[in-house]
Amino acid sequence: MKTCFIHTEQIYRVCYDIFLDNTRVFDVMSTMADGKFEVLLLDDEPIVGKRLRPALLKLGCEVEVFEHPQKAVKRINEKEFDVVVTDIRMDEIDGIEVLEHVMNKSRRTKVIMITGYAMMELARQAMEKGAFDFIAKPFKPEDLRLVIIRAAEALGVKLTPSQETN
Amino acid sequence: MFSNCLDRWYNCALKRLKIVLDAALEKQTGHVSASDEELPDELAHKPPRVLRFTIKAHIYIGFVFAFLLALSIGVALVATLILMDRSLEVVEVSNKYVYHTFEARNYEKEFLLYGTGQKEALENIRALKDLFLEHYGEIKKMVGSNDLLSKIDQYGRLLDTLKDLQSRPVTSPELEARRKQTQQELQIIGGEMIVVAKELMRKEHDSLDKAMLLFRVVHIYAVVFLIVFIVFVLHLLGYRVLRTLNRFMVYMGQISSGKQSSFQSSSLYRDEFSDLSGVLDQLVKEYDRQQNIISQSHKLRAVGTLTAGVAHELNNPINNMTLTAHMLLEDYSELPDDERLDMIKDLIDEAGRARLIVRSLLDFARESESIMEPIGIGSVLEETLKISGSQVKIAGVHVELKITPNLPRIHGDRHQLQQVFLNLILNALDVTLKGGHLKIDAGMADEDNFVAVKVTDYGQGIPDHILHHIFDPFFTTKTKGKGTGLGLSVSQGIIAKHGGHITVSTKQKRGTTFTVKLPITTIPADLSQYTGQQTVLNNQ
Repeated sequence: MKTCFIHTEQIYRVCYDIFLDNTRVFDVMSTMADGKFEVLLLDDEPIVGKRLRPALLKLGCEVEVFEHPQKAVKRINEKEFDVVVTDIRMDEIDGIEVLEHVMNKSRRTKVIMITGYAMMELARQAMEKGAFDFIAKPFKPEDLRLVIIRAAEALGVKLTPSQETN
Repeated sequence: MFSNCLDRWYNCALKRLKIVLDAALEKQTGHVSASDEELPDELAHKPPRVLRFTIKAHIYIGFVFAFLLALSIGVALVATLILMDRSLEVVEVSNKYVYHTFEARNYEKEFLLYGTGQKEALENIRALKDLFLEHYGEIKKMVGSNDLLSKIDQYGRLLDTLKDLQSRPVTSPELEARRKQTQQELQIIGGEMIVVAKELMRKEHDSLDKAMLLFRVVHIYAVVFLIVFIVFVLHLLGYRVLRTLNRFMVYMGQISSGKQSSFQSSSLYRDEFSDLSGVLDQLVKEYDRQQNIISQSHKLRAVGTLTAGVAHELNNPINNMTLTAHMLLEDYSELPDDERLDMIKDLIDEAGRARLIVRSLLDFARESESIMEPIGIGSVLEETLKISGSQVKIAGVHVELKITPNLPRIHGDRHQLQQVFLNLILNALDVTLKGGHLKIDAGMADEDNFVAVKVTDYGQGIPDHILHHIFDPFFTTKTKGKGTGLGLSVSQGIIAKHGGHITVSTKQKRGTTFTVKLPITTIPADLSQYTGQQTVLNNQ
């Protein structure tokens, strides 16, 4: 009985791997089609955008920065990004709504949530809704870069972090 | 004359009473100084040199005086009564005397005219003599002459002689002449006796009148003085007790209406009431202290609620600083000077922002002395919203703040009022769904000289069976660990202390409005709003 169960589980795992491989192939293909790795950064704190833009540019991504969720959502409707980085708590539209919007628009876009300290519940909710990962404030630029590199890897893109980083 | 006398009596009584009171006071002072040493801290807050004159002593002295007075009045009445009795007795004696004298003389006349009645005359004379001997003192005092007895004797002898002369059958001119002479003597002495009797009668009348007058005067004075004295003592005692009770009532009223006040004890002397006021003062202080502890502990609880929000709020500037500092470190050599300067300026600005967030919370949490000052309710509300800002943002609630311009100021403690409004806002946030809104409205109350702050939520409302418990201490509908149940109770205490009140009106499924009414203050006048207007004009 027990062995049988393990067996079934193994079958599932294999199936899952095959599924992941397929999506990966799919992702790589679409990324290749664009030729660029595009990131949208949304945070209502202007300094976040101002400081992270050069940090992400060093990864070789294209970065679009937004402070207002409305404008960001509008831009997401216009264009499919590889990675969307969004703050969870914002005044007009919150990060979860942005996440849902992105998920409706394109399943392959990796969404990275920026959360505050006391919002683990929201973060869990975000993960359930399909966020790629979350990163807690306060964070270093390097932390975000690593998460984006992982997201790129998940999409089958190899991003090389800048050699100058310490 | 009567009123003069009464005045003198009253003055005399006052003087006497004062002397006795002074003596009592001196006796009590020694006692007080002894107890002072025993209980130094209890009396430390009292004026040290105030004499102690207790109400008990007051009552005792009053009663002793009343008793002494009643006793002396009784003695005086008995004395006058005895006097009356005696003078009545004397009246009787003198009446008898006069009667016997007149009888004797009547029989004398009969005897002289008809030769009969000599025996009766003699009997009367004898009775007169007996009476005289029996009441020698009184009659002598009345008449004042010593020869009355000799006159009576002489009268008796003359009567005997006359009888003797008349009983002789032979009449000779010598005998006739002697009889005539005897008759004349008898008449003279009889006349003298009548005069004495009349005088006795008159004097007796006089003395009786005097005694009657004295009796009446003593009676009237006794009654009048007793009444005056009782009124005087009652007035002193009643005035003292009632006035102090009245002051206590005012004091209690002030305490219950939340005004801080200390009982102004009677400055003349210390008594049971000053002891009571001391105990009450201590009670009020203790109550106040405990109220402060509860208020403070609840405030810290509120701070705990706020901390999560504040921590979140702090994350933004800290995140900004972290990012900026790391980028500066990373790209230091490549960046142009002005970019570096910009980053450093950002760092400073964000640090300042973090400091402000922490400071507003610490300002609120700090255990501070209650400072009552004239303040604008608008600024209090704005500051409170600033403190609760992060909580409001997390709740995703839109707060609509409406402040009527040029509201009169109120007299109050800024931090305590912030605590009250924070409680109301946090409560309202708890029942407001995400994306909902709540309204804060500050304006004049419909009551004169009050401003009203209305905090309205559009939640589920408060059920009737809960409504009259919401201001009870430790009553809460929140889950364990989330609410202390002290918020509204503490708020009510604070508002009562400010002379205002909190009311609540609620509609099921529609929402709840808490209304805080606070009395306005006009002194000192707030000039800043005028200068403020001026600057606005200048700017235009």
